[in-house]
Amino acid sequence: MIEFYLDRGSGVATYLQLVHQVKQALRLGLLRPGDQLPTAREVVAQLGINPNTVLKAYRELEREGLVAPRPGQGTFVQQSLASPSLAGTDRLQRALAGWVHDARAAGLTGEDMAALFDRAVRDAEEGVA
Amino acid sequence: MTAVLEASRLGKRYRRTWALRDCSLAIPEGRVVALVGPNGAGKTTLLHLAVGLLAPTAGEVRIFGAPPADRAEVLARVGFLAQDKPLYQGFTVAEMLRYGAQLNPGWDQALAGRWLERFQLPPARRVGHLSGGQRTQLALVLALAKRPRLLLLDEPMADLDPLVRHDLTRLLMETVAAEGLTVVFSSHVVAELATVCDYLVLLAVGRVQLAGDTEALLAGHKLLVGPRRDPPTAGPHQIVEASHTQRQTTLLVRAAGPVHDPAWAVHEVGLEQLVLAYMRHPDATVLPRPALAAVPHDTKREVSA
Amino acid sequence: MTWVAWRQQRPAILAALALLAVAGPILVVSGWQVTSFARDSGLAACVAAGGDCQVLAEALTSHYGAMLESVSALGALLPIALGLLVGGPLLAREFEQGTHRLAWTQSVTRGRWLAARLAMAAGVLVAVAGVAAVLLTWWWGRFDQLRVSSRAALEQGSLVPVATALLAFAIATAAGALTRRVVPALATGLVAVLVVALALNLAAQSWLAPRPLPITYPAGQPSPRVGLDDQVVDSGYRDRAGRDLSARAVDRLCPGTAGQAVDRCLAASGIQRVDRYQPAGRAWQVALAQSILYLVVAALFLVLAWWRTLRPD
Repeated sequence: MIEFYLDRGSGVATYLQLVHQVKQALRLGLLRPGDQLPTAREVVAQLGINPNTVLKAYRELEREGLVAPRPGQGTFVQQSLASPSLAGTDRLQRALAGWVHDARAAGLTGEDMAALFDRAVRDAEEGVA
Repeated sequence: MTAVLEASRLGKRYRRTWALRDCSLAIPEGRVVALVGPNGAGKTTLLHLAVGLLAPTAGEVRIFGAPPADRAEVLARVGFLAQDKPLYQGFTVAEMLRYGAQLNPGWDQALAGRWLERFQLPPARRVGHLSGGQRTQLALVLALAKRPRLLLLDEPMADLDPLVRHDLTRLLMETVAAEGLTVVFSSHVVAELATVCDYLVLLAVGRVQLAGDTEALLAGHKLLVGPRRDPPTAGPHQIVEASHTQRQTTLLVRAAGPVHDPAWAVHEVGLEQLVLAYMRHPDATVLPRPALAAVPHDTKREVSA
Repeated sequence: MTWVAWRQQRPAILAALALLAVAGPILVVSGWQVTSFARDSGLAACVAAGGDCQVLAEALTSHYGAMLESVSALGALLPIALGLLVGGPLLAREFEQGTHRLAWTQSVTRGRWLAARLAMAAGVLVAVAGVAAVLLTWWWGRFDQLRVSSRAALEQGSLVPVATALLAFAIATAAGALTRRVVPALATGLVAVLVVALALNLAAQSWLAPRPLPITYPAGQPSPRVGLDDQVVDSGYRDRAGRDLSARAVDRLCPGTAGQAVDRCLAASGIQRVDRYQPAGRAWQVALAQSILYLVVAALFLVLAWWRTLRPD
């Protein structure tokens, strides 16, 4: 079961943060079709947010076809976002961790690394296009 | 959706000063409402009028469609927590619960007992020997264990340490999730409200400055940043606040529609930002008065991501 | 709401009982002292025999005069104090502590809440004041028997002290509803009770009570009504011609305190005594009239408190 966290200072709407976290978990394979999402009550008991926010996030996910409610039981994952190419990403994740380690040793901040990463991705996409 | 709390041109005068003036509201059911405003804005007065502790000088207020007159059925459906968290100093915790049980037919003793355990309030201790946070907890238990449909809290979180505050917030939200309770609480600390409330009422100098779904309010306001423009204009959009540096103008506007002027970079507005801007400009828009019978903004619009 | 009304009233009731626990022994002990002195000095025997016990009575009053004054003042104030203690904080404390905002947002109406509180408070007060009244009646009875004081009959029975306590209670409750602070409520309540009680007392005596009857008899001799259970309201002297004489004038004519010489002098100069008395049966009427008046006025004050409480600010 996924456990949500809240970044109150980020300026991102709470429900969007929840949606984002579900999608992230789906991508990484931490949530799979058939898994149950925490009930609104459980999320609220942990985070102390407005229950309507949770319901709104789940409705949004439902709208995108990722989850579906089962009456009397809860909300369950319908569809995976994990693309096949994400399978076997363990090696890539490890390589990435190594790169991050080196970058930090070189004195780069998280923002610097993100900037480098974004540029690399853009370059690659433009190169392909 | 029905309005649980409505006010129509509600006013309250003490001797010469109007604590509340021309105040109109319609709060839908099932919401968590933040009543914000600076000290002296009239928040306490509004709550006291809503619960029948005060009588209006002008206008009227209704809960569940009826005036909050001295009637047992109405009183049973409202839970109220006054700002000073009144409790009987000489009573023990257990006696306070018995008090609640005797005076409220809807009292749920099992529920009260569970909360007592959760807060670890010793039943034999006198109220006078409880800490401030414990007193708030006990007072809240008293308000909630009668199973109200509407809960009115006057600055419940003031004087509480962050841990207790977070715990109480969670408890309240759990109750809202479990029972569909409508909660109205007043606060003069805006920063923490964004994740909790979905309806906002801003009072300033006794008048309603803002009232509506937080989502709708945030969607309806934009921050425009662009080259200096003084005096500021923003086309059809109403300017709430303008600030200028040597080369830049920042406007907080109430957007009448999409912003087409390419000179502006358009940003979203945060709740605290919005509230503070209106508080700094008390003469900014006062929203039109909703009629007592109809509820103007009750549909929760799905905002496309 | 019974338990709530009782539990909220408990501190005030305990205070009232404490007051009684202090005042009671004072009354009992002083009463005993007087009784034994009267027995030992022969005053009791004299009164029983029906003689003129002036000398012996004065011996008693000179011995215990100061104590009698203070204890009788205590006795008069005791019902008032009980009523104030129970009524003063009832509403005033709620407002002072802000607990009215708790009490009036529970599921009972203000009217029902107040009715229960008042009923419980008044009920217990009647019981406590009743005990005080019995004590006071006993105490005054000591003196009444010895013909030493003339106030006893007014306090006959438990009526007047209990009614006084209820009057004080009602006034203090109203004061609490108006001042909304405990100490001002007690202070204004005390002043108001004294003023009102005094006024009502005079009214009762002047208009409601039957007039005392006069009886004239030669000075130095015992009253023809001796042995009857009269309450002598006042007593004076007249000369042969029927003119009023002050005690000092009588003293100048026939100096000396008591004794056969004085008696002979008085008889010789034709001086008469004039007593105004209420026959025994009448004392009850006066007490009843006074009590009813107190209760009516108490009810008015309670209505005031009720109105002020039920009306939201």
